[in-house]
Amino acid sequence: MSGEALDVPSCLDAVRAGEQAAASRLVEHFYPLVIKIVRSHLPRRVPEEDLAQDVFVKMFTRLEQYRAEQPFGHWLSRIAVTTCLDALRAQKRRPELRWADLSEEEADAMQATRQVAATPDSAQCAASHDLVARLLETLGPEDRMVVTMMDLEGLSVAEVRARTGWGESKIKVRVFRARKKLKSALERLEGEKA
Amino acid sequence: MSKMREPEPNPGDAWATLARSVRRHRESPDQGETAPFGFATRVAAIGLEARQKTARSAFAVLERYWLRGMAVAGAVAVLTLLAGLGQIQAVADLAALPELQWLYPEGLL
Repeated sequence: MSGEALDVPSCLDAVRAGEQAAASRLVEHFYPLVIKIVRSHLPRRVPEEDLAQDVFVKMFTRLEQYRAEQPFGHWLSRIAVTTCLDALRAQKRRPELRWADLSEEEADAMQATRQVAATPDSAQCAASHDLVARLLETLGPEDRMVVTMMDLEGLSVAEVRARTGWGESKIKVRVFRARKKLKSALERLEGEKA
Repeated sequence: MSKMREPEPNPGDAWATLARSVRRHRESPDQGETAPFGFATRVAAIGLEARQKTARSAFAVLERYWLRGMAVAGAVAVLTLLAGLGQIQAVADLAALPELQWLYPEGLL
């Protein structure tokens, strides 16, 4: 969220009254929060600004549903997560990843997973990032979302629950299954390479 | 909320290694990032317009269809009555039979 303090309740009142300056201030203030979530779960070929715009438009149209019991940021985070989930659902799931599909850098990143102690350099991190993105594309939208939150963003089950509204057991089951699928995809890639 | 936890080290798990590497890459923060120039103004305008449209459309539906709704409801009521008229008549006739008078307490029909 932007550095300057914003009186959210009064800003919301002004937005409800149709004041455009207040609406702009609200968007500016919550842009960092929304863009962070959008970037974490961005589907292929969807520009991040378009998705962020969708999130904010939903925020404006559903403003009447917001109850002040929870912080506005939490409520908006949930809208951002469900918007990303809808975008992921709309995207066609990729078939399984083959060794031949990997770029040279991604293949190197794959090799590097064996050297646990080594500290990867930034190029290797970027290649790992690409490889992870491709692996995640083979998962279903919910699995992808939960494994991104827990393994890549480092959120706890309670935090994922707050963002998605899913039950604790659903989250645990999903992340377990997703990790299992990813593990077997990586093993298959290893096998193909050998 | 944004507190990061390092995943449990698991030497045999390629996924954990990859995830750790990605997290290190992601930790280059995008804090303090501001919206691109004009983004907030544009999105605010689109959002407020969508808000007004949503409010208008809810009223517009009511305004446009209330009379038709009433007409349909009236027609359905009349049709139901007509369809059931035969049965209502039959029950009334049955009640008129002297041998079935005991079934109907006095003054019911």
